[in-house]
Amino acid sequence: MTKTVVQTTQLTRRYGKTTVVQNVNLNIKQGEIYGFLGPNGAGKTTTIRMLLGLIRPSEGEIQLFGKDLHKERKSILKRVGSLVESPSYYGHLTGKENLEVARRILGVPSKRVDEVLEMVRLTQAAHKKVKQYSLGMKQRLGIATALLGKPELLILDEPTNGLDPSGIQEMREFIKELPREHGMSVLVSSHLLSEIEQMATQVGIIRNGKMIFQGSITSLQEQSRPRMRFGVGDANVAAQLLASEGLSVSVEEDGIWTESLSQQETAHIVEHLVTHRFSVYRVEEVKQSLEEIFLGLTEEGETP
Amino acid sequence: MRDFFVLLCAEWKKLQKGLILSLLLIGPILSTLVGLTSLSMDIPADMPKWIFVYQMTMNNYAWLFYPIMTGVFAALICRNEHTQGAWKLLFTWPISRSSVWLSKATILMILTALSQLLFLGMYYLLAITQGFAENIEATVVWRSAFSGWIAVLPVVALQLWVSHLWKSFGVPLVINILLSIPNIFTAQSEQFSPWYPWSQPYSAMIPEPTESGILSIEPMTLWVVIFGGFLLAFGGGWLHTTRRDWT
Amino acid sequence: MILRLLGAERLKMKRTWIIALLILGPIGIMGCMMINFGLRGDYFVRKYPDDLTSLVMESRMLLYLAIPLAGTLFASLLAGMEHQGSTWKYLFTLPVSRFQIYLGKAIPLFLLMTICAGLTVPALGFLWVWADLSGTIPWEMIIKSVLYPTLASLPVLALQLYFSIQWDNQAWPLTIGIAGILIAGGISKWLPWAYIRNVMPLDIGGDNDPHFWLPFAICQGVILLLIGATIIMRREVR
Repeated sequence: MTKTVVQTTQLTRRYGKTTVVQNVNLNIKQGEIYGFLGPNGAGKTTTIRMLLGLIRPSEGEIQLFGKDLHKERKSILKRVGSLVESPSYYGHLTGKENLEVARRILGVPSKRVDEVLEMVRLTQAAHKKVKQYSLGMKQRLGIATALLGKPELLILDEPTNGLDPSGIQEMREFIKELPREHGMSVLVSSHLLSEIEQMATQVGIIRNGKMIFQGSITSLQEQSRPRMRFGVGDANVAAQLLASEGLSVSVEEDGIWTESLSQQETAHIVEHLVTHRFSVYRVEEVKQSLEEIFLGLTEEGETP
Repeated sequence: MRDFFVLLCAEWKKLQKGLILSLLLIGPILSTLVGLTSLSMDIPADMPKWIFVYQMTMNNYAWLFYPIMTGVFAALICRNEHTQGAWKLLFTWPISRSSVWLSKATILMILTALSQLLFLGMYYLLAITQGFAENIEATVVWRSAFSGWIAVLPVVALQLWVSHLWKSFGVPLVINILLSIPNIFTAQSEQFSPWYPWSQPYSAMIPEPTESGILSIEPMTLWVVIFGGFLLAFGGGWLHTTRRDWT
Repeated sequence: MILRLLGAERLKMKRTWIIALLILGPIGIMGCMMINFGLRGDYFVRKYPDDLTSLVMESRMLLYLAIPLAGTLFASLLAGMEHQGSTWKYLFTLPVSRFQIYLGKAIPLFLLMTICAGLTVPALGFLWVWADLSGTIPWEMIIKSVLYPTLASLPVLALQLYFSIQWDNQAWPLTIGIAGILIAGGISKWLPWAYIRNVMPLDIGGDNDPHFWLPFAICQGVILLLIGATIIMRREVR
């Protein structure tokens, strides 16, 4: 059985009267890329800050590597690398010097600086002052800093913010390699499913501070088995007929909808309709994209 | 001209009033406390009480605090633009760069004038509570405050320029403080004090109980050091702001 | 651990005004004193009983403003550097206790002040020779009159460091510091800014008493440092 790297139980955080994070049970296993999804302001950053000990939870517990964060903060943080929101940097220093500052505090060998620079492809710009960097370069420097201590868990809050499409692609490939090549587990947050779905193995979706889905990408896809649409004349009567046969159908403006069906089932329905003199002019399978599922999940009850 | 007034309104709206007011009040309140403690001292026989207390209140305030705080306010009104990268935004609007500079300078002049008003207000408050308000010769103290404000204008212009230049809050302050420190000696020296811009507020605010016009500043100092210094720093800052590249 | 933090701090100072201030401060003090003695040297001969008194008394005026002002600026520059790049949140996610992070700022602040003081001592020695004052250079007195106020500024340093870290808008700590130094010190001798004046080794008609005020200021400085560290340790980082 694989080890659990991050486990939160009933994690809750309130600011005054508003609850920003409510009873979140995050579960991340070793070697996973965990996509933490949710619209802006859903509580992702607050959760991440709690995982890093920057803010304290109002209720609930946080365990990293099976240890209590509150009690063993230092030994836990030694094994974690992070990038929270906008990158942190000293503008008056060069990229390399910035890493050198972090390296001295972490006490890792100096050749590690060159390694991480190479990893994020900043070797060329290593001697430029960071205030002259582009946003994407600053972001990459942030990742390099996070990787410096050879962490077992990497926490990245919106790492693709401000990157151009090719930068996003590059970042995605880069993150995907981390578990394979370095045995790291990664928690990466985003408000875009399209970014996460291509790299994450597990996803957690948070909305209004509550976790509304947690599981593998495939189980998320299962949430949306394709549906069948039958274009039929006199749809209401036809639906009654099918319902009396024990089939669960619904009538919508553009026809009769059913859950996904096998080939025989489909054939059976069509035959049934035709023998009862309904005109069937279209039969199609409609797939829901992940994006639609995600939007469906996050928009539900958005306006109370 | 329209740009200027629009910007001035915008600048005024941007100011964090509570913060500015608290910062403006610290100096006058503390100075007045010094004035209060001076009441227990032996007041020279040939000096009216109100002028002695004024002198004591003014001493600590005008000597270094006022010129240094001018630098703090200059840095403060440029802080937002620096931290949020808003210079870029400001200069992409269809307004002239000169009016940006001019509106900032005007705001800073208003703030330094407010400081003087609060200072006088606190002094009057002290005088009323201590029961010597009737004796105050209003022309003397008002002239002192007004002269102090005129005398700080070169510092206003220079600090605004310096604050435009550096992103860091501390750097303009380092420069201002280093340049203010010599006041300790120049303010007392007759050869130096008329020529050193940072000692002008103090010299100008020394109360002169004579009927000597609106300003208590020597004409030579007024025109050459204060007016000349102001023009130089104001023009330099203006040219620099309008021509520099904003990255 | 703390040594590593100091190493990092040292690197961060590269290309900042901290280094400039470190050099400009003592040079500025010497320059001011040279002008002062150049202009009014003859007057000092009449004003003070001997050359030693005139040097200490005249530099005293400068030192008890320059030392806390330098401390206020150093504290603000050290903390402002982190506010500017929003690096506090990064530092606090490192496997280092927050107390050590705080000490990692407090120790450099104190070291900077010590270096400044260390540079001021030979500067005043040079002034002694330059101003053609009589006798050998009174090193002991010079060292005392620079070192005592530097040590007595500990409470001010502790306060300023805390304020500068607490507020990201440096207008606050700087205004409080400047107002404290320039005005509050004159209100009561019990306010931290006044200690710097209270510990002067030599005074005419003042109530200086280094034997009482020096240990008092150092103890208070350490206590204030611990209080500041405790508040920052408990604070949430946004």
